[in-house]
Parts: sequence; C-alpha cells; structure tokens
Amino acid sequence: MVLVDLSANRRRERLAARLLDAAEQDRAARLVLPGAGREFVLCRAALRALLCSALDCDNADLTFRTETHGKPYALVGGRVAPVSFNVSHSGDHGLIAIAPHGRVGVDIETHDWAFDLPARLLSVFSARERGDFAETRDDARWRLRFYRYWTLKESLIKGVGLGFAMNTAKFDLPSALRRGEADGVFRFHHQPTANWHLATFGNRAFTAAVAIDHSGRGMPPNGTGLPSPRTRRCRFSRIPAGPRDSGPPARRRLVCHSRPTPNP
Amino acid sequence: MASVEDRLVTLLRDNLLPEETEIDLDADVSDWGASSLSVLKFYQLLNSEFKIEIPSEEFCEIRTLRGLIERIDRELA
Repeated sequence: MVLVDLSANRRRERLAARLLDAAEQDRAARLVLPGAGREFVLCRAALRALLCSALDCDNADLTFRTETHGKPYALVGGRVAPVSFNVSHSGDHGLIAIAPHGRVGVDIETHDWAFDLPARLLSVFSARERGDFAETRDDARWRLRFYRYWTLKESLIKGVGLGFAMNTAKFDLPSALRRGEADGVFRFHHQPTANWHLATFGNRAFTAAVAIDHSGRGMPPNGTGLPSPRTRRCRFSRIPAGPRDSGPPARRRLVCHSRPTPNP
Repeated sequence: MASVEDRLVTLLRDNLLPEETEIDLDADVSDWGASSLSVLKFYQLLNSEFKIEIPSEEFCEIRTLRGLIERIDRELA
C-alpha cells in the first residue's frame, strides 16, 4: 500500500499531470469541487507510476477502464493487466493498494472535525454496529469509530466492486474489528468461501482501511488475518539525478519513503 | 411551491456544491468530485427533503441531475 501526499503544490501537480492521458486530463479539468482536480491528478499519476513499476510497462501503454459499478481496472497495450488495485483519496491523503491477484478495496477519510456527521448517517451500519455507537458517549471517540467503521465498510464494497449498490447495513463487521483490533476476517453470507481480510490503520490526520480477498490463493501464513499494514509514503518530487534513459519517466518521478503507519 | 428542480438545486448549493457552481442538468454527477461521505449525506438529505426513499442501489445508478429529477418526479407521482 502506498500513501500519497495530495497537498497543494503547483510544481508537483504539473509533474503529475504530464503522466495522465488526454481523457484523464479532461476529467481533471471537469471536476467541480475545490481540490477534487488536484486529488485526482496526483493520485492517478501515482497509480500510473506504481502500476508501471509493478507491470514493467511504459506509461504510454497503460490505460484504464471501469467495471459496471465504476471499479477501475488497468490495461497494458489494450490487454487486461494481471493485477488488482484500488485507490481512495480524501483531502490531502491518497491511498493506493496493489495486489498481484485476488480482489482489493481501500478507503481513506481525512479527519475533518468541522464536517457534520449527523446521527442519521448511522443508517449505513447494521443494528449491532449502531449499538456500538450508542455506547460511545465521547464525541471524538464517536467520530473516530464512525471513520473506522465507514472506511472498513467502504473498502469491502469497493473490493467487491459493487460500491453503493450493496447495502452496507446488511452485514456486520467482524467482532474483532468492532472491539478495536486492527484486523480481522470477514465472509459474506452469500459467499462464505471468500475470505476478506480487513485491516484498519491511520493516525491523527486520517483513518484508512483495506480489504483483500485471497480466496483460492490460501490464507496468509498467520492464518488469522492480514499482516500489519505496511505502507509507504509518496509524493511527486524532483526527478532524481541519473541518466535520462534509466527508466520510464513515471518511475523516476514518484519518490517513496518507507514508514510504518500506526493504528488510530 | 417550488419545482423539484429548484428545490434540488437549492439543496445542492446549500449542502454539496459551492454557491457559484454553474448547474448543468445533463452533466455527469461524478464530475463533481464529491467524497463518498458527502454523497451519502446528500442522499439522506434528498430523501428527507422530498419525503421519499430512493433505494441506494438505484441512486448510485443515476448519472445526471436530470435523471435524478425524473426519478424524484416518479417517486412523488
């Protein structure tokens, strides 16, 4: 997983925009809400850089299409690429997960203490989950629980690829995650053979979650859930010194720093 | 009584889009670039404002404001 710095920076945005194709640049220009274009450009360019590296392809050969409910997938030279990925962005924070197989979904939410979260939003949660909120009196804890549950649910529905066509109130998050643990395994009633490994992480600025289905590929070695999330932080930066032909531009313009990300 | 379109545009400007946003009824709503939480809040406000209950799976299939107005009209008919 990679965390992408989406904070405003004209130079980085210009660098990133050059990696996008014409359709992506058009889309960025159409986005209405303040900051939405910047978030899209920086996140899509980071995704391109990471996929080019993972697939050993040139940026110009990489294109994207979307499934029926909007989940994007990659093509290289017009052929579907053998990789799973998912992207989320919120404010200054982007999150990209790439997996060699299976299905993956991610969600990240910037903590916005001014953003009104009315109690009626709890209707997206199951009765059991709403009960957890009833026991949470402190406002800050209530909000953090909301972000945690919401990102976990959204990572799941994005991983499945149905988005909000799925009713998130109809399934319970694993009890381990509801108790505050960092990861757990989830199975849909209608699809009990699919093991969705869920993990939550974040810091004071954001909460994020990832859902990965490894069905048919075996369980992770510990057999209980995902390893602790390992993330890298990335931002577009100056092109590192080196010969001009040392790699595709996409690989030379994304600078990553390894840093563990604590749980909220 | 204001039309569905007028009420919807007011709801949008008050809760989701900047006041100065030019509203194009036929533009793809995904071009707003709204966050999932903002869309969720707007969806709930919409149902509350018009006292209707558009299923979420139908709501997320609607691509334009004109489509949304038609859906609300059907719900109110």
